[in-house]
Amino acid sequence: MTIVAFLLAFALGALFVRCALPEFETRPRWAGWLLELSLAAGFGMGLTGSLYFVLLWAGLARYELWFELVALAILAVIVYRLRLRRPAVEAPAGPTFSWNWLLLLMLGVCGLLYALSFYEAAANNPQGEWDAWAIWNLRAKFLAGGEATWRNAISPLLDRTHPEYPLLLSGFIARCWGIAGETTSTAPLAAAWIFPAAACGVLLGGLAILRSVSMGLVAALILLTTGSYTGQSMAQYADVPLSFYLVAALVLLGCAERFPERADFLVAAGAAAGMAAWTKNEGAAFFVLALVGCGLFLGWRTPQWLVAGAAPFLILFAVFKAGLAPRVDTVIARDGGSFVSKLVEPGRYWQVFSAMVVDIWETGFPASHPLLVFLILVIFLRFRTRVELRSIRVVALPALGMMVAYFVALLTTRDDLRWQLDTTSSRLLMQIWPGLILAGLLTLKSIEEHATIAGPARKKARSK
Amino acid sequence: MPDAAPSRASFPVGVVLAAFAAGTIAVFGGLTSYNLTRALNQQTKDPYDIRATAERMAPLLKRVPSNVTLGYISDVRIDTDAGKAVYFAAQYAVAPHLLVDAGASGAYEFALGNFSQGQDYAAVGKAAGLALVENFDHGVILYRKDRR
Repeated sequence: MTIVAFLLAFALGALFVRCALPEFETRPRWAGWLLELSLAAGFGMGLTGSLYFVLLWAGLARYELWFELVALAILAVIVYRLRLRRPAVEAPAGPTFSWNWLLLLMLGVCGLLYALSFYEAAANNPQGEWDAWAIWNLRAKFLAGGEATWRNAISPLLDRTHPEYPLLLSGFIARCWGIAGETTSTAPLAAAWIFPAAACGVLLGGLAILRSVSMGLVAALILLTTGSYTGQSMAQYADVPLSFYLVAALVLLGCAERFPERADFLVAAGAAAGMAAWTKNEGAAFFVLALVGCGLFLGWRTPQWLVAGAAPFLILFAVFKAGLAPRVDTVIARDGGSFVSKLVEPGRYWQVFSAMVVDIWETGFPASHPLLVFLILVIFLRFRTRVELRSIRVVALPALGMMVAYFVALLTTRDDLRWQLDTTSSRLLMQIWPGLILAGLLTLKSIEEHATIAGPARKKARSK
Repeated sequence: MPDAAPSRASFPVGVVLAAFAAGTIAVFGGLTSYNLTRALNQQTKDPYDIRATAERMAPLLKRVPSNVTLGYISDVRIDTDAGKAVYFAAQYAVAPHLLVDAGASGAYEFALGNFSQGQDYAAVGKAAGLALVENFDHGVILYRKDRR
């Protein structure tokens, strides 16, 4: 039954994406399909996980399946009615890199290696690493117990394991367990595998639409071979689902900039940012940064669409924090004096900065480091012009802003700084890693832009 | 529909090599990562004994009413790293029952004793105001609040 739970979530996600986004008639067509499919997977898990929690709270969780089937029917009707009314987005076709097949083959090899690694990790540690079983899956077990036990997930007596954390991932796993009727490792493992795969799909499909297929393939290759990132997914930590929502929001913001006549992308980006907040607290900081980015670079009226998309999840997040979650000390120092004293201590800046540099260094092995790949691309492809780079500001601001937010959070932590850096900073980096890959590759000229068009095509171009 | 892509496009050798190098480096990274993951997995198989703990606790779970909060006592102090690992592994195994420190909270009827070595379990329970109900072996003891 676990597979039914996942298929139902994907079906809901697919219809939601079809409702929220216009059809992509860009070249290649599969890029649009891949982007939609990947968004559908992540959005489906987010929507059903959130719905399950709301129904638990309302005392209606036993009707979850019925609610989902009704939502499925309503969305299907909306999709049918919207189908003919909404124009598709189009983008002119460019030259095709003739070696894309080789990049695709390499991506296939990397995908296979990742799948094998994941299989081995799952066979050895199906319960995941510490945070998986002590926080996320533990709370899923409480939620899956239904009306009698779900409040255990937010019990102040669980103060050693963050009962104040948002519940998207735990809610989704609990929902799958509820539908399947058993608490096996299958659901958390499948979610842990699908989220990074979907993040990879969003990067590939998104960059193929925003820039070119080859840049999308390179981005997916970099992500799949970042050891820290794939390791986090095998650990079943919530940082990888969060990374999916962040990169999905960034790609959709990029689409909103590329196709400015469409508000649909902003609403969908808002939904992704809202789901990010309901996955982990850091997602709320991302939403604020995305809002600022929209207001500054896409026009002062655009943030309203972002808010509209995020509203259901932000309301859930706010009500949960205000009314349900126990008052637990936040990671950041609360009292003003301590906060300021940490801010003015120069040694802490160096400590945090050096830890973040080490984390970036440790994202890969020296001979196959993602930065090495980026450096090679910078040398041969070169950066886009300053005018062209203006188009990526709405993506770059939230992505780089998150790095600043992490820096400040670590700098002002109420816990021992060394311990915090050792246990947290690499995970934080991985949350925004796909977003950084996206922003980094958007700054470069694409491989296809270096093409020299020969023969009839050039004649045709000249005659125009 | 956009126009079809131009059929013939040539690319500078440097650009083709850059793409090839990026892909090769990534594949090499993927291979290295796979080998490392494999070695790590062989070294750290279930490091916190989650599966073993679940098996140890299973008989006890059949004896306690469903969904009640359970007290928790152990000979491994919960404020140590080892104690936290043992406590959370037990908590994960008995969830959706909530485990609360038997000394700190009184909101439970039954308590789980989780011991790393054999001892006089009845005496340990008595000292915490608990009466031994059943010994499930492997250091798993069911207690009940001592009303006397």
